[in-house]
Amino acid sequence: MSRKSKAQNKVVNELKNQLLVQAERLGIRNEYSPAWFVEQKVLAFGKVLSELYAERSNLEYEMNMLGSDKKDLLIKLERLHSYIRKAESLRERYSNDFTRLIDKGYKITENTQKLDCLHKTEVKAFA
Amino acid sequence: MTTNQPIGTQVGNSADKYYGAMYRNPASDSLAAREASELRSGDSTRETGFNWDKDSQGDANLKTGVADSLVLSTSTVSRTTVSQPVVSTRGAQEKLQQFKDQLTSKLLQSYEEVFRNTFHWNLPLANMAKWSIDNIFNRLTILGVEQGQLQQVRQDVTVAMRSENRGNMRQVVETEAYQEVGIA
Repeated sequence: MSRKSKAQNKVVNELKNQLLVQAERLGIRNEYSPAWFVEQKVLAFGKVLSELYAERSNLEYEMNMLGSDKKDLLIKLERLHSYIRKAESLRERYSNDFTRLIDKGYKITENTQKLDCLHKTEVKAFA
Repeated sequence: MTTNQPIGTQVGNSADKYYGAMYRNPASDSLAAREASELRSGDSTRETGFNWDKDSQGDANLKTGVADSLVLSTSTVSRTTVSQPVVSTRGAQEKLQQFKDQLTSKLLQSYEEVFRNTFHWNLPLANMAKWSIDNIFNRLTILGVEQGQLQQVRQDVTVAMRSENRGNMRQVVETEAYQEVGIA
């Protein structure tokens, strides 16, 4: 990781912490669960991909134009493809994570309900 | 008697010498000089609050500042040269009401800003906002603002800030996504 990206990460993390502190005071801290973050990540990658696809179509259109620098455009397209592949794989990964988190949350909820039922049954048996 | 002066003159001279010496006391001289230096031109009031006024016969009379202010206030009220018609009073009332409305709206605005700051991530700033909000609240209560109105302001600010917080958090997540892809 380069020095620049490290500095950028630091700034983003600081912003995130500040927003979480503010959310705590606003009483909406519970909304920012891990599942929420993963879901937003999936949506964000969708947005990034749509922008990358739009850029790709622009470059392809430019390729078909007369008098354009084909070599330069091909280099750009190649780079763009690598970005697209990366974004797609990241979106796939976060989608899987989201599904796993939802399943985990559902299981936790299900088990909690079962435990509650058991406790109620025990209380009734004692009574 | 060694001199040929009459007894009255001698007594007068010795009295002059005695009291004259007292008047020439360096301490009292410096006090008088200080008072004189501290007084501005045309200012007849001393540090003690007393005031020397001359009456119609030209005799100086000592008066206190309190008496002066009482006299001034009485004379101000009882002045007959200033006419106060009903129309001008109505205008003044309108202006007063206008001033009150402006003050209320400004205080409400600052109440909103300060209430917004109570959710700030910076703890000292949030605490300061919490302290100052009580002050504004008291002033608004004195001005007759209803509790329901303040409650509405608080609710609006909270809803707006929650929405803003969610939006900002989405933006941060989006920035993270761009960074992960490698687009700075």
